[in-house]
Amino acid sequence: MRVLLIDDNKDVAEMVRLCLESQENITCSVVGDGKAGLRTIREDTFDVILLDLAMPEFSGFDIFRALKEEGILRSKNVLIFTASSVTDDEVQEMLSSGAKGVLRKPLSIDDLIAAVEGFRQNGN
Amino acid sequence: MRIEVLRNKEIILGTFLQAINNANKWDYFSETKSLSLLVPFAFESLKKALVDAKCRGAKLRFITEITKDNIFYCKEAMKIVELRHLDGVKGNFAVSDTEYIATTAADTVIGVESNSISIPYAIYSNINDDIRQQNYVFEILWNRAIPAEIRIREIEEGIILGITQVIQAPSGIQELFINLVKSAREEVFLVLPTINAFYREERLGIIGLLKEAALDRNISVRILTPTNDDIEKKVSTMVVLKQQQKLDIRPLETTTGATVTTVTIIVVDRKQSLAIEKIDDSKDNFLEATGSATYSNSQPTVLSYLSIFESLWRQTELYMRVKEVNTQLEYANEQLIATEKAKEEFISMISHELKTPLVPLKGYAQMLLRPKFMGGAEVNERQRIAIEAMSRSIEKLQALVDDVMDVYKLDMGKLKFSMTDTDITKLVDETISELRTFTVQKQINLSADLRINGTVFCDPNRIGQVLANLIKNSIDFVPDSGNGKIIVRVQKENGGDNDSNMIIFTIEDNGIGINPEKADKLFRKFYQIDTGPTRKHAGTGLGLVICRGIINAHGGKIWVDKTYESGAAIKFTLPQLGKQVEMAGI
Repeated sequence: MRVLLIDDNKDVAEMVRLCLESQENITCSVVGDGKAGLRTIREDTFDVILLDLAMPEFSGFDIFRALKEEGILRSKNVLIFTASSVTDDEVQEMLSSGAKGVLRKPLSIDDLIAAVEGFRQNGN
Repeated sequence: MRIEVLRNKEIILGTFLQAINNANKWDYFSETKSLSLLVPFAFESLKKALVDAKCRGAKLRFITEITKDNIFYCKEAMKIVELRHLDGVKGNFAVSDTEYIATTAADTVIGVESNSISIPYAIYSNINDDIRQQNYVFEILWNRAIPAEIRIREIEEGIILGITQVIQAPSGIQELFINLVKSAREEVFLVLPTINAFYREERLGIIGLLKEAALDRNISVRILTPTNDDIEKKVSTMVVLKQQQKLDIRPLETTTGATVTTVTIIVVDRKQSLAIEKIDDSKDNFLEATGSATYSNSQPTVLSYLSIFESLWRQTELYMRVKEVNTQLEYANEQLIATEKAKEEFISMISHELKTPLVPLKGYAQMLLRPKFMGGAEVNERQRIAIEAMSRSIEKLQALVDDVMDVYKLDMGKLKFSMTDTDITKLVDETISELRTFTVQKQINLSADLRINGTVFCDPNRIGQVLANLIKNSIDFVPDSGNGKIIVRVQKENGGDNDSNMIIFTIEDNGIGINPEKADKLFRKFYQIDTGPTRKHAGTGLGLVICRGIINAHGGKIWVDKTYESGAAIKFTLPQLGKQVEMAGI
C-alpha cells in the first residue's frame, strides 16, 4: 500500500513514516510543501493521502479546494490530518465535499494505523 | 344724484345729521383734530343723531387716531359706536349706504381767505359708484385698524403692544430685512430654511452684514442653516468669531422634521421679527424667490418666534452631540471587534501550536514500548517505567490543552453545540461501557438506574463528556477491591410529575464523600479537593468547570447533593425538550 503524507512538520512526518512503515507492506512518502504536494497528488497514485491543513503559503485547505475544483477529490482517498480545532459542522462539510475522513492530532498510533489500513485493497 | 361742494359750517353739519338720519350703516373716518372741532360745536346733536341711528339698528363704525388727548371723547364715543384706532390718520370722510361726505382738515382752506378762524369745506356725493368706492376704501382701513380697547389700554397702562404687519412687496421686504440687520444693537437670530436661501442671503449681503455686526458692533449673532461641504468651509473660516462666542452657526437638520422649511426668520434684539416666505426656492435672486413677509414688533409674536428659534438651536446642539458620541461609539465598537478577532485568532493559533508537538511525543512514546516499531528491540524495566511515566504526562498535557480550549470557549460564549434528540438509555449505556475498563480494573460496580425512557434534546457528545467526567471523579474516590459502587440514575424531576420538563441525572457513589463546605467551590477553575490517593487519571482541575458550563448552556443546573451521606452525589438537570442553545458561557 502506498501512503502519501503532506505535512510541513518534520518530526510529525518522521514519526508517522516510522509508524506506518513498520506495518506490513506499506510505503509512506512525505512531501513538506503544499504546492509540491498538490503536484505529487496529480502526477502519482496513492492508496491513501494524509493531508495536514495548516501549512505556510499553500495550505491543506488550498490543496483540498483545488482537488475539489478539479473534480478529482472523490477519486482520491484523502484523510484530513490536523491539529486545528474543526467543528463537527466543518467536518461534515469536508466529508460531503469528498474527504474520506478527519483525523485529529494528536491521535494514538493504533487509531492512525486503523484509519490507514481501512483503505488497503486485497493484500496490497 | 348730485355732487356738491359745501362751504358753510351749518350746512355741512346739517348735511351730516341728515345723512346719519337716513343711514342704515354709518362709517366715519376722521382725524383727531376734526373730531375735537366737532365736539364742542356740535357734539350733543351729533350724539343724539347717532343714538337714534343705533336704536334704529344702524351699524356705526368710527376710525380715528386715539391719543391721550382725545381719550375721554373716544370713551364716550365707544358707548355709541364701534371704535378702532389707526396710527397717523389723515383726512376725514363719512360714508353710509347711500351718501358720502368728505371734509378737509380744519386749518386747510383752499380759495378762501381766513384770519383766525378757518372755514372747512366739504364734498358731498350720493352717486352709487362713489359710494361703492368709498365703502371699499373704508373696509380696507377698518381691517388695518386696531380695536380701541387695545389702544386705550396701551395708553393708560403704558404697554406698547406692537404691530404685526404683512408686507407684500419683495423690494420692501428686502429693504426691511437689510435695515433690521443694520439696526441691531444686541442680538440677531437667523434661521435659513434651505441651502439656496443661504446663498441668496449671502448674495444680498446679509451674511456679510452679520459678520460685520459681530466683529465691529459686538453683537451676538446666531444662525441656523442647512449645510453642505461648501457652506461648512465658509463656516470654518468664521471660527475665530465663533470662539469669541460672537458668531455661532449651526447646521439645521432638515430631516428632523423641523416645522420651518420655507420661511426665513430673523429676530432682532428680541424686539422685532421678520418671517419671509419663499415662493420659489430655485431662484438665485432674493426678489424673485420671495413671497410675502410678516413683520412684528409685538412682544408676544416676537417671543414666540424666539422660542421656536431657541428650541431649534438646542435641538441642533443635542443632535451634534449625539452624532459625536455615535462616531466615538462606532470607533470603539470597531476597536472591540478587531480585538475580539485578534484574540480568537491568537487562541486558535496557540491551540494548534500546543497540539502539534504532542503528535510525535505521543506517537513515539507508544512506539517505544512496542518492539515491532523499534526494529524488534525490547525495552528493559527501567526504560518501561520511564516511558510509561512520559506517556501519562503526555495524556495529561493533551487533556489539559483540550480543557483549556473548552474553558476559553465557554468563557467567550463561543462553544458550539450540536443539538439533537438523544436517546437517554443509549447515552448512559455508551458512556458506561467506555469506562468499563477502569471500573473492571478497580473492581468497582458501575450501574445505571434508569427510571425514564425516551429522549432528551441535547448535544450527546458534550453531555456524554459531563457524565464521563462525573463518573471518573467517583472512580477516583470509591474504595478499591470490590466494595466500590457507582450508580447513574436518571428520572423526571419531582419524581414523575408529568408537567415538569426537567430530567435529573444523579451520579452517586459510596466513596469518601464531599465536604459540604468545599462543595460550593467544586465548580471553580483549578480547584481540586486535595486529599486522595494516587489517581489513575489525574484531573486537570477544569473538568467540573466545563461540566457546569455545558449544563448551564443547556438550560440546566449542576450541584452537589449535600443531603446524601453515604458517599458523594452530584446531580444535574436538563430540560427534556431543550432550550435553543448555540453558544455557552460560564
